[in-house]
Formats: sequence, structure tokens, C-alpha cells
Amino acid sequence: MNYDEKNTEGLENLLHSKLQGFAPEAPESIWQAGIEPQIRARRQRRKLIFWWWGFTGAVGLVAVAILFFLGKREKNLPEKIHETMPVAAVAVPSDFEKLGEISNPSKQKTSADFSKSHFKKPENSSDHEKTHRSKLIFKNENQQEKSNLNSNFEEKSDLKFEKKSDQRTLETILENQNLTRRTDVPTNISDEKFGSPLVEKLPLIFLKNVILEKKTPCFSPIPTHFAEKTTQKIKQPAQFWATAEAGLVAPMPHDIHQTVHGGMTFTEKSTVPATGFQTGFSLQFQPRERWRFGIGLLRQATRQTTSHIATLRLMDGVCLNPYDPGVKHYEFQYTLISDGDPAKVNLRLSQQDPNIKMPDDEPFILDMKTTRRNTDWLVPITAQRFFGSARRWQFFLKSGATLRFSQKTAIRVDHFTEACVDLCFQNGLTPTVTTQNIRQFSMGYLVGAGAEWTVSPRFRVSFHPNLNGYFSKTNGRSHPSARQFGLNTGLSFQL
Amino acid sequence: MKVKSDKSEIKSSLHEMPDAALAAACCRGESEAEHRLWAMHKNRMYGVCLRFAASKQEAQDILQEGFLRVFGSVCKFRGEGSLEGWVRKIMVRTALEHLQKRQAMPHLLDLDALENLLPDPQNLDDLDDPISAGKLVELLQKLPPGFRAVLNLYILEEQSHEQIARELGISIGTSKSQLHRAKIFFKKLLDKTLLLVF
Repeated sequence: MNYDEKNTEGLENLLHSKLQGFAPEAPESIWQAGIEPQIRARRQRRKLIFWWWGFTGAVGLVAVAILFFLGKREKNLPEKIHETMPVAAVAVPSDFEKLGEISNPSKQKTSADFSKSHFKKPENSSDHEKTHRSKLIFKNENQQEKSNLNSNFEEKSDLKFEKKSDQRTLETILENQNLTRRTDVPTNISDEKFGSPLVEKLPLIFLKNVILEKKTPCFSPIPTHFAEKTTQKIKQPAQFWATAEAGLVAPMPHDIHQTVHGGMTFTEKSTVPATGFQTGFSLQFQPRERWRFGIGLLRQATRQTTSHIATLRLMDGVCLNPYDPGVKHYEFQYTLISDGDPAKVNLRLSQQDPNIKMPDDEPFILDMKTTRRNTDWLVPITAQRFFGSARRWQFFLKSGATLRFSQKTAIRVDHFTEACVDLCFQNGLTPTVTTQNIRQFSMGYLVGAGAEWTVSPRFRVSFHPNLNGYFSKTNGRSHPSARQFGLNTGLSFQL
Repeated sequence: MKVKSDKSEIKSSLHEMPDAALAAACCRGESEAEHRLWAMHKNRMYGVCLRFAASKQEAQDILQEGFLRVFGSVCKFRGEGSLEGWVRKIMVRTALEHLQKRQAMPHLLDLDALENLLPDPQNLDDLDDPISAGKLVELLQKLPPGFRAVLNLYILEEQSHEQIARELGISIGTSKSQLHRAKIFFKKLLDKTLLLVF
């Protein structure tokens, strides 16, 4: 190398003087076709994300509110039953005598038919019970009633408790002197009518609840069949389901919407119908017996055999080794559109004979057969309506919205034929194709119908074919981008 | 009439807008302001991109990507420096990332192969000024990406070797040697071009 430092003197000055203010006219098409639409799309995407989160947040709040309401309602149920139950029906001695036989206290509801004159010290209290004693002092608005009460009911009564916690609660409340008496309690029920002292037969936890108007489920003297009749009218409590899903998908061919992405764009044709597989899970909320709402996450992988014809010129590509006197390698970049989904492709070709130089502007055609694999993430938001049942089967209709995020596209060249006039490319050398992922977001709809088989009260298996359609937005315009038919199987577990 | 006058007022106010206000308007998503920012800086930035890129097409790609980044992060501009300097910084970084993606930075080059790089004399239409800015950029584009990056950063972006080393992820020594080799390469390319012309 004969060049030294001196030869480069002045080079810096030359470049400075010539290039410092270098500002050639930039083509306006970059703004119109490239930047502005993308800025708009980005802004709309942000808006969409904002609304999406707003919507899901609102749905979440509503769900929490519903749950809270339902929970509260369940707690209120005993009180309501008490209000609706006829007193006379409750005060049947034979029924009271069966109190000890009540096996499932959680199903029993509170009633309040008792007289304070029935409160007595238990006769057969064991040594253990005697240690758990408390003082009862009743406040009464009516002095007359109070005097009657005092005559029949000792101020200091020994009461037995099944649980220590009950005793503590009662003691605390009694200390605060906040006891109230129910005013709707009939006073004409006497010991004689019952045949035996009522109080002795009432579990004290029931007394506590009735006296203090506690709104918690407790033991009750209501006959079982009364309580059941009332509870039959209560709606099924909200349920949560977790479902694991898997199924086949088949993208359906449709009219390809030619989108403009700038640069070279070619269209793929599907030669073998595309197929795929999807797996995922969903969480479902069932506020009513016949309605179920769900949100899920599915990963979908599809495979499609396609072909496309690319008409290229050397000048459209970039020579990767311009200084290499040997075989030249070229890279071309173009966009492939298949069923509306674009994929950016980098295609590499190699020259066969370095001595034959093909003109840069001479077009040549490559006919390629490729395998395209797409990986997408789906977020289905669905509403499910059950409308009939037969034995263990329940049938439903399903619809909703689906959000789709295209994650990855991989294209492999299976076969190619080149129609280059000079046969300047190596025969049998398959071009290598790499793809740049175009992360695309699309929204769509979902409709389907299916059947659910009850394996056990907590496990269900469902089969549901469905149809998905998606819409993408390009250059500010919405257009249908893909349609898919799916056959899903789900295994649901009640949480 | 009033609407028209309002629009012209907005346009004139955009013209006079200081950098921070223009950036703030862009941050709010005002289309007029965005176009104004583009129109103000597009040519100079295109010049920067052309110097870093290997072709016009690549330069346009870099310009588009760079401006998208500018609009994506315009809310972060706090007006501490000039808006042009900030935009230029983003553009240079975008161009460097673009070059690094290509991963084609040969360090050892046979200078005899320069014959292939020489421009066609028939294409040198501006014979009065054979070393015009456009021609120099064309020659710069003929340089290998590594040389082009170092030459641009050191001479035209006036960055130190430390900064270049940090930007490109190389050592300071490599930066210096690359610059030296790039200068020789470019000078030889320039000399041969001039010989062809005269």
C-alpha cells in the first residue's frame, strides 16, 4: 500500500466542506406512504389497547360487584326465609322434637318463633358445660314485657355452648348491652302448647342468632322440607370454570386483499389447504345457570403449502460480496401476501458463473413452492348460552370477539424453478429464505355451537366447532384478513 | 373565510414554533405539527442517511424508520438541546443499527479490487464539479459498511474515538485503525475517480 498519511491530508476538510450541509430533497412519498399511515396505525393501536384495558377493567369490576352482591345475598337468605315463613308452621311441636335429628345444619334456615319465657337454665348440664357460663341481660323497650321476661327468665342464666367461639361472641355482645328483641315474635305460644320447654330443645347457637339478629347461617327449628322448598327458589350461585382447550384449525381461503406495503410485493397461492393446531386455556364465569362468559389465551400454529412467482431484477437486490471476484451472492427483500397476512422475505441467490454478468435491469422469474408456518396468539372473549340438555349432555351456542397477535412467520423453500434467460444462477441451489416478522394485530369475531358432557359435578368435557373471522387495518382501512374453521375440545374444571 | 384564516394562523404559528413547542404539539398528536417537523428536517436527515447507507433505497428505509422513532419518542424531548440535534442523533443511531444488522463489515480489503467500485465515467454528468457532494456521497456508499460508519462518525458527526467505540461496540484501537484504513481507501477511490474524469 503506497498511500500514507499525507495522501489523506485534506480529505477531512474536503468532506467537511462538501457534506456538512448536504441536504438533498427527500421524497415526499416516504411521508405519505410510510410514516404518516404508520403513525396513525400506532395511535389507533394505542387507543385500542386503552379501550381494551378499560373494557376488561370494567368487566372485572362488574364481575367483582356481581360476586359481592351474590355473596351478600346468600348471607341474607336465612333472614328472608324467616320473614316469609308462617309462624304457625314453625311452631309445630312434633317438628321441634325432631331438632336433634337434623343432620345438615347448613341447609337449615333461621326462624324466630320463641318466647323469652322459655329461657331456662339447662337441667342436665355436665361439669364441662358448667364451666362455660355466661350472663344474659336483655334490654326491652316495653317495660311490661321486660317484667314478664324477668319473671320467667333469670338474669343470670347458665347456657351451654357447642363452640367456645359462640360463647365468646355472646359474652362480648352482652357486655356491650346491645341486645334487642324481635318484636314480631308471637307471645301467645306457651310451654303447654309445645308440651315441653322449647328452650331446652333449641341449640343455643340458634338462640344467639335469633336474639341478636345475626345474619349468619345457623341451626334452625324449621322442618327440613320447609327450608328446602324455600331454597329451591334460590338461583344457582355463580361459578367459575377453568378450561384447558385444544383443537384443530383450518384457515379458509378467501379473496386476498392486496395491501400496499411499499417495495416489491408478491402474492402467494395456497396449493395444499392449510391446517393447524391450537392449544390454550380459558377462565369462565357463570353467573346464571344458562350463561357463561369467558376469556382465554390460545396459541395457534398453522402450516400452509403455498407457491408464488417473483419477478426480480439484479438491481432490485443487494450484492453481498461486491469485492469478491468469485461467485456473487445477492439478497432480495420483498413482501409476500397470503390470505391477507403479509410476510417480509429476504431471498438469497447465488451466481453460477462469475464470468457471465447478467444485466442489472433484466427481469427474471422465480417460481417457488414454499411451506409457511404461522404462529399466532389469540385472546377470545366469549359469551356462551346453554339451551338444552339430554342426560349428561348440555348444548350451547357461543359467540364473541377475538383478538389476534401474529407472532412469527417462517417460510421454507421446498422447490423452485428459475426462468432466468442466461441461467446465471446455480442449478439445484435452493434459495435461502428468511423472514422478518411483521407483528400484526387484528380483531375478529367468533361464532360456534357445541355440546358439553358432564363427567362429574366438577368436570365437564366440551366439543365445539367454531368459525373465526379477522379484520386488519392497513393504511387506515379495515379489511377482512383471514377466516378460520376450528374444532375445539375443552376440559372444564369448576373452581 | 374565518376558518381559512384560522388555518393559516395555525400554519404560521407552527412555522414560528420553537423546538420544544413543536415537539409538544407532536406529542399531543397534532398532524400539522408532525408534518411540520418532517418538512423541517427531512432533507438534512436524508443527507445523513445517504451517507450511512449503501443505496438510496436503504437510505429511504433508514429515514422512514428514523422518523418513526422520532415520532414515537418525541414526548421525551425536553428542549435541552436543539430539536435538529436530537433528531439527528436518533437518525444516526438508526443508521448504525441498520448497518450492524447487515453484519457485512469486512476489515481486510484488497484495494486492487477497487476497480470494481469505480463509478462509470458516463454517469459523471456533472463534469464541472466532479467532486460534488452527490458524487462524494456515491463514493461513500461504495465503502464497506464498517469504514463508512467510522468515517461518517469521526469526520462528519465529529465524534471522538471513545464515542465511536461505544456506539459500534469496538475498541478504541480498532476505531482508530478502521478510520486510518477508511481514509486511505476513500482517498484512493477518490483519486481514481478524478483520474477517470480528467
